[in-house]
Amino acid sequence: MLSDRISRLLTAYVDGELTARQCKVVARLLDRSSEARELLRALQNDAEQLRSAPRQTLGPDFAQRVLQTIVSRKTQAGRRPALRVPMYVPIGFSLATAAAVLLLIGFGAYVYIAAVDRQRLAEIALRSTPSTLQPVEQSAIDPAAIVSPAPEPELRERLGTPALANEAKAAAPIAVPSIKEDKLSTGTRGSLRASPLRPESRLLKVPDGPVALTFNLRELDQTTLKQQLQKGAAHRLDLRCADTLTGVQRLHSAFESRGVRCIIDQDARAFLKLGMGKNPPLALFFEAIATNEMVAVLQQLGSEDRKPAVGRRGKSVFDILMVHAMSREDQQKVPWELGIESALLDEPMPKEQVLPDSRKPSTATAHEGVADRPTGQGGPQTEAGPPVVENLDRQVLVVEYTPGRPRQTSVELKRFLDGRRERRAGTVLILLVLTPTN
Amino acid sequence: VNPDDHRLIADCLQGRTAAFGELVRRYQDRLYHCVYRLVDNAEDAQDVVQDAFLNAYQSLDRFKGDSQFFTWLYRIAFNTSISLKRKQRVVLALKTSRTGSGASEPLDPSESSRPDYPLEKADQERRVQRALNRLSPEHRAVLILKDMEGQKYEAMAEILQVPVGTVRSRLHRARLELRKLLQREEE
Repeated sequence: MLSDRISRLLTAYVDGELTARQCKVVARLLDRSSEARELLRALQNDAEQLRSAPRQTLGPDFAQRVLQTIVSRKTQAGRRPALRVPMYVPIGFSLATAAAVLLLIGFGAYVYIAAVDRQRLAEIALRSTPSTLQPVEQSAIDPAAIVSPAPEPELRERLGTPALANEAKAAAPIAVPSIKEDKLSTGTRGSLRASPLRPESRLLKVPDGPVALTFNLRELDQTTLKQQLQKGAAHRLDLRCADTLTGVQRLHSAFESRGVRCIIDQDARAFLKLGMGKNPPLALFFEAIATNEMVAVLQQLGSEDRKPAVGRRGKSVFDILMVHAMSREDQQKVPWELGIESALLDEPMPKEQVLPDSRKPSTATAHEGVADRPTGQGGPQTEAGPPVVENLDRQVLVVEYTPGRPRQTSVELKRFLDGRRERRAGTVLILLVLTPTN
Repeated sequence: VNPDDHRLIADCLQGRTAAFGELVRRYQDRLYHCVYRLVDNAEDAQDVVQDAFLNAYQSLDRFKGDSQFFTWLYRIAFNTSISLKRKQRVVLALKTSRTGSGASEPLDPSESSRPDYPLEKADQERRVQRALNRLSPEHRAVLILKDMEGQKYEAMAEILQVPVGTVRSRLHRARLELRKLLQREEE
């Protein structure tokens, strides 16, 4: 029977953790003890069996799953969740906690009430004098492309879009269909408030379904993305942004340059104009967009993001893009996610409309249409007066992403609904959600 | 710290989630192999590895870089695995068949060409895993770290957060115990 000291030496020998002197001792021991030799051989054999066990591997999508979990839990790098309260705590601590909870509930109620009135406040902020407006960067969103309720030429001059203002002054407006006030009257607002939306479910949520694809936007694989988008009729795209306002401005510019009309709802517009020191989640809703167009825009954003010194303080803006194919149920939830009465989006879309010659004098409402037109998309200006076909189906609605919170039927929303046209072949529905990384 | 890891960690802390994806891809299989041997259940092992990565992501600011990122990751995963095994307190049955791309290359080609070699090999693997499952989680952990990962005593002590002497004596006891269990299996 070998002593404990000797067996320790032998196991350490198998571990390969002996000094030279200890190795010599083991060598001498092995020379004279067959029992030691036998034990060592057995131990080495056991270790070899462990070493030769087949390597187990995880699937290639494991990293994507981890990233998806990080995004869905809104986890942030280096930020641990709050510590749990220990089970047995002094009574004083419990009382203090209860008081803190009550305070928190009071504060929460205040925040909720404030949030309900925020849209009204935003409207007031936008109508305030120029001195109260923060300067808007030239590279930022073009205010002319923002659909405003009453785009007066003076206001547009003030906002730095002389070209459009002159266009308006030149009395060459383009007629747009009038807003169906009867359909979206205050009565509709009432029904919106009474609609069975779920205001309690306002947490940001990534769909539970499988992530079809995850990309780093800066290394976007165009072909794969295009193939994926062509597989279904509706998709949700979650794009993580260091700064969602800069992100939406870039998206706006990219779509605008391709002639897609961006209609920015009043809450999102207030954020874009005033900043308010926030980094809100925003949603872009495309009811019908060509997959090529979407892929090209994302590719453009990714390549712009790769350039050095882009974005705020020289950092890149976009992070990962997750693509989820929407099921029928997901599609039915889209109005809820946007806070729009589902009946409004369920209405059949009118076919492409033939509009009168834009060069002819038109009614006063035609002036408003100028604001809808993205820069550089003046429409064909023919000599004679044949009918002009407008691509009004190429439009996107930009809103603050607050799923479940009923949205007031703003002028912008009405314009979006009026601008809906029957979906063309090769187009898909896309809900693009910009979520802040921090 | 590996300079690449260092760069990726810095990117993560600046809000680039995609950089963490790269770290996951880099270490997922190595970590999974060890955790799988420790918990002997593919689903549990996946959960443990995922939790380890999520915990690591949340605690990245605590990683000071005085050890390898992988060592740090191991510490998180092993602690989670050992807690899980203690909770379960059940020896899980070994899967009857284990196939997949991860199968190891045979050491001796002539031996592997024998028709009964795969069966013998699978049988041997089952015996070893069964014996491993009968060890305490602490003993299993030291054997896996030493024999499967080839870690040194110092690194193991860091991962398991115990003194080097404890690692040495645990390994000693674990080897002798494994020997006894395998001997019993052979009989």
